[in-house]
Amino acid sequence: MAVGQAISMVDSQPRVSGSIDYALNFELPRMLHACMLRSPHAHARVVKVDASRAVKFPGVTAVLTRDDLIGDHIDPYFGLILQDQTPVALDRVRFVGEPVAAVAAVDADTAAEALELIDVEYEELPAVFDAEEALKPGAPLLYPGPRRVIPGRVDVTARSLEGTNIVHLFKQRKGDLDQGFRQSDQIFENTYRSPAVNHVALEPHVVVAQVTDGRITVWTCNQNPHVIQRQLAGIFKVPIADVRVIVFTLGGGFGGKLNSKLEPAAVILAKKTGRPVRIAARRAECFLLGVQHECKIKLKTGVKRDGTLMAVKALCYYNSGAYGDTSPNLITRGYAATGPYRVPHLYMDSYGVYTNTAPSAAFRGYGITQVAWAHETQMDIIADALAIDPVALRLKNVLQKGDSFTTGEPMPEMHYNELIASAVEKIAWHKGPLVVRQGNKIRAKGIGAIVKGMATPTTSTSTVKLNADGSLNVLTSSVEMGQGLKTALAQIAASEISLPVERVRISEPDTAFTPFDLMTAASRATFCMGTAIRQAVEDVKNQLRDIAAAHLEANQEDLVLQDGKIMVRGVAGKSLSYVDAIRMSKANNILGHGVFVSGSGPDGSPVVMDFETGQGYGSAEWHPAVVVCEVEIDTETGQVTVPRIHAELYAGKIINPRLCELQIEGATTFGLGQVLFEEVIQDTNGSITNPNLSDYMIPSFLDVPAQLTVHMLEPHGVTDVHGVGETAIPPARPAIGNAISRAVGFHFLDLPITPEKVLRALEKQRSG
Amino acid sequence: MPNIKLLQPTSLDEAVSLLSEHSDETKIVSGGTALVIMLRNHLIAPATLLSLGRLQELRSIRHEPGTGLRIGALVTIREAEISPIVREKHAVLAQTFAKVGNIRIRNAATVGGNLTEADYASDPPCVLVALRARVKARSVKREREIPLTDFFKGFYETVLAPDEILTELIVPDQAPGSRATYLKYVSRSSEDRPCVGMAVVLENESDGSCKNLRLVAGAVSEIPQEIVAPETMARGKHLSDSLIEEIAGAYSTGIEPLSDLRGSAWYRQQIIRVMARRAMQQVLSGN
Repeated sequence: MAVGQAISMVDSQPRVSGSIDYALNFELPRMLHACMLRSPHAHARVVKVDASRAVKFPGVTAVLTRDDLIGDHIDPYFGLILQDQTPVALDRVRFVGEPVAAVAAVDADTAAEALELIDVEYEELPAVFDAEEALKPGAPLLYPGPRRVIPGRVDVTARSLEGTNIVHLFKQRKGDLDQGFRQSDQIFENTYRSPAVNHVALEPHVVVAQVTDGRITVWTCNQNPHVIQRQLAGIFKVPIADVRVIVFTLGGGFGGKLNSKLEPAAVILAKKTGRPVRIAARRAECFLLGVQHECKIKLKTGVKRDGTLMAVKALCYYNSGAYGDTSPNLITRGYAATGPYRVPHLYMDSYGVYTNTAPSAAFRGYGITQVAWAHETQMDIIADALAIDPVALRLKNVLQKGDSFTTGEPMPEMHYNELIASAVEKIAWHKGPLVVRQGNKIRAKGIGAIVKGMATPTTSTSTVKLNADGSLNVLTSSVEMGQGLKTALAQIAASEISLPVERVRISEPDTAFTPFDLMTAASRATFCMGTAIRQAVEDVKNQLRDIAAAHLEANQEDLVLQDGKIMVRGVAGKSLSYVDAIRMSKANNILGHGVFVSGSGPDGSPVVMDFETGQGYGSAEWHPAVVVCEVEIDTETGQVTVPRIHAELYAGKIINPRLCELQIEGATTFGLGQVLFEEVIQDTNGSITNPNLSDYMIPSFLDVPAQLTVHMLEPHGVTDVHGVGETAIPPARPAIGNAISRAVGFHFLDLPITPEKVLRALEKQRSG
Repeated sequence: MPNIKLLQPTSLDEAVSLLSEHSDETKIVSGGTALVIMLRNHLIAPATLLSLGRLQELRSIRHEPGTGLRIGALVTIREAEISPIVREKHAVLAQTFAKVGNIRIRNAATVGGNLTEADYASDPPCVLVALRARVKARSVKREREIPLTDFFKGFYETVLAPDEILTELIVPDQAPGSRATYLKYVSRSSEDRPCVGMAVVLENESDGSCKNLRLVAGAVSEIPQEIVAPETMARGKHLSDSLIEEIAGAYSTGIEPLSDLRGSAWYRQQIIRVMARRAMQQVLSGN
């Protein structure tokens, strides 16, 4: 059985030999190169855009300005949920770096040079950068006009929010908050901040577009090819059938490559020039195409003296930046603002707010990362104040099977007791003190626990093709981006059809041929696409059984498919190979189709939450995770190192243990960088000051903890597949943060926790 | 970068003569690790690039008795780092080169390029200043030696004239019994540039008292910082823990550090003191 084996990635050879085709390396004959002119202002009216000088510049083929967005041939508005983006600005720019025009030329340098010849006149408007500020009366309004919501999104209450900067507001009301606080012995109130951080995929955003006879083809590094397809069809008013989106293996995604970004501009320029047009983002531009939501979370928690959580009031302010993008959905993750704990009385407001900062986007950890920083730090503050062991406090309150979540839904098996027990054992939590001082070093341990949902409802479809020689093609629009998806899907298909993995080929997405998949994101692909592929293979198997039943004169239910043969149970020697069966069918290949709609919770109830109360069902699956670690602090410099960290996850049925581990190791390291130093910094004019990899740091291999371990819980006989790609980031941040706070004796509420902040806190204590 | 003219001389004579003709609009490129980033970000826009890549004569590492270690300007940081001669004569230098950037950078960046770029947040300059190294510079008109104590002028600025090419780094032999060390302190990722670099050279008398102490901090100001007063506090004395602490304190208050993303001026001040102390302790203990 291929499933459950730690086989190497099916594309490991081309990966290490450098022969993977990335979109970044894709070229077409006569291809032009385009660059974007970007706004120097955070908020301004665009008075005039005059490209007449740029058009005449030698080597320039075409210039895209807002004039190209007017007319019956085009509907310039697009967006994942709210259609608030245009390929270039129309009458207003809303962040420093918003595209205002684009130039296509014979090469990128010529295009960049010609940008300087475009005359743009702005009339500056007051700008707002802080989400809470943007909610105040009189704050500058980013979108004064009516809102456009894509059809079918009934979950977005856009109309009622017109005239405000609120992208979306998600509310939860449960129990009686006042009563909960009255019944509490102590109340804890704190505000937690996480800065914007960047995905820093090694491969920048890149697109090549071509328009032939009105039919559009784009090669793009993107995680949701079918969303791009639908958006482009909408913008250019052509049938979906006339938009072909081709995606190769991505050099990293992490949520930063969802939704159209450079694609619409590239298509317009391709149409104008009749030639293929490439736009490749420079590293600095990647910081303008999406960052993790900067977030402020205010938590007020009421607790009994014994540590029992009674009531939580949570206000979450997710800074959406200048576009709605995924925010209306992401901010519903406020449902986890209380963490994986029983809280009988809850009042939660989660805001997505427009501000004049670079747009926020999905980011590995999807909204949970920010709330986890708040609730897990809050848990440690409570534990310290009540003199309860942080692990004991968590065990006392953690969700058990059947407990009611903030949505009111009964939670499925949560496994926190096992996860926490195993994790604290790994870090020897109960052996010796949690804080050890030696000379100028302090060592301390920390823990973080979270629950993460999965995007629901979503759809994955797949077609599989059993060929005349018994090899199998899997046609899927799921995207390989380094996470090992091709390998996992190949293992699933191979197991299901009972062929060696080597006989299975997983396609790359090409919307002309591969069936619909919503996106490769939300830790959903292995589960959702895996299920669709299983169904497609079952379809093929049924057809093989039909053929074999007639030929072998056996009942369908007596047939067993194994190792490329159909056999009759209990009758030795009576069999038919797949190859022979296909020949007999005269079809030359056998096609199977699978459609999986993930729309219901673990108990089968539809996943939908009430507008006013947030009660209902939040996810098809719930992913529990715990991270524990030990940090070491240099008390003279404030420098923090993480010598050991351990991630403990519920994984359900594991498809490939090694790839799961690698995913979790990567996610943990993401978390480490975000706690210690990652931060997109902006000046007072709203301009990002560190959009390069010298000034914006990500962890290097030397920062990876010497002991980085992973354990996954896979109960015997379990069949459910759980995504694991993101789940370790949210608990890793507070686990490290809590360890630092414990060492220093001061609770840090704002990320990142730089050595300077640590040293200042230590100095403050030393001076009494 | 199609509009930039590339000159690729094959001898130093040809190089200096080409440079004298084009010196106004020319940038010299060797490893290119810094220059290419500046070009791509449009921080510089030279009409001509003069590549030193073909100048084999600038690629040697040798030791000359009486003069010291001679490292050609085109020697890569990595070559210098692993050179047995560098390791034998100036272990501290080999250790410093090993701390520059990462292996990919070190394989391309050159010793001469590192110095002429004069990036304040760099490891080698403060060490070389502490070792009283000097560089050779050539132009059509002259060849001269410049002590590194006089070489750095400001942010990305040296005393080199536009028609001069840095050809060689000369590191004199250290007095017998002299010891040196370099501490690199990073405040973010392990591969970050230094927040503070601290070089120390200590020369003792035969009785163990201090004859000469030099402390040079890098990455804290426009150019490497050497403060004379604290150094004189050590002369003729045994470096006790309290004296070390006193020197480190005086040293850190003698510097007005800059603020950047790696740390504020206040923070750097604290780190300078700690690193100065640790560096002195380290050379004393012989590690």
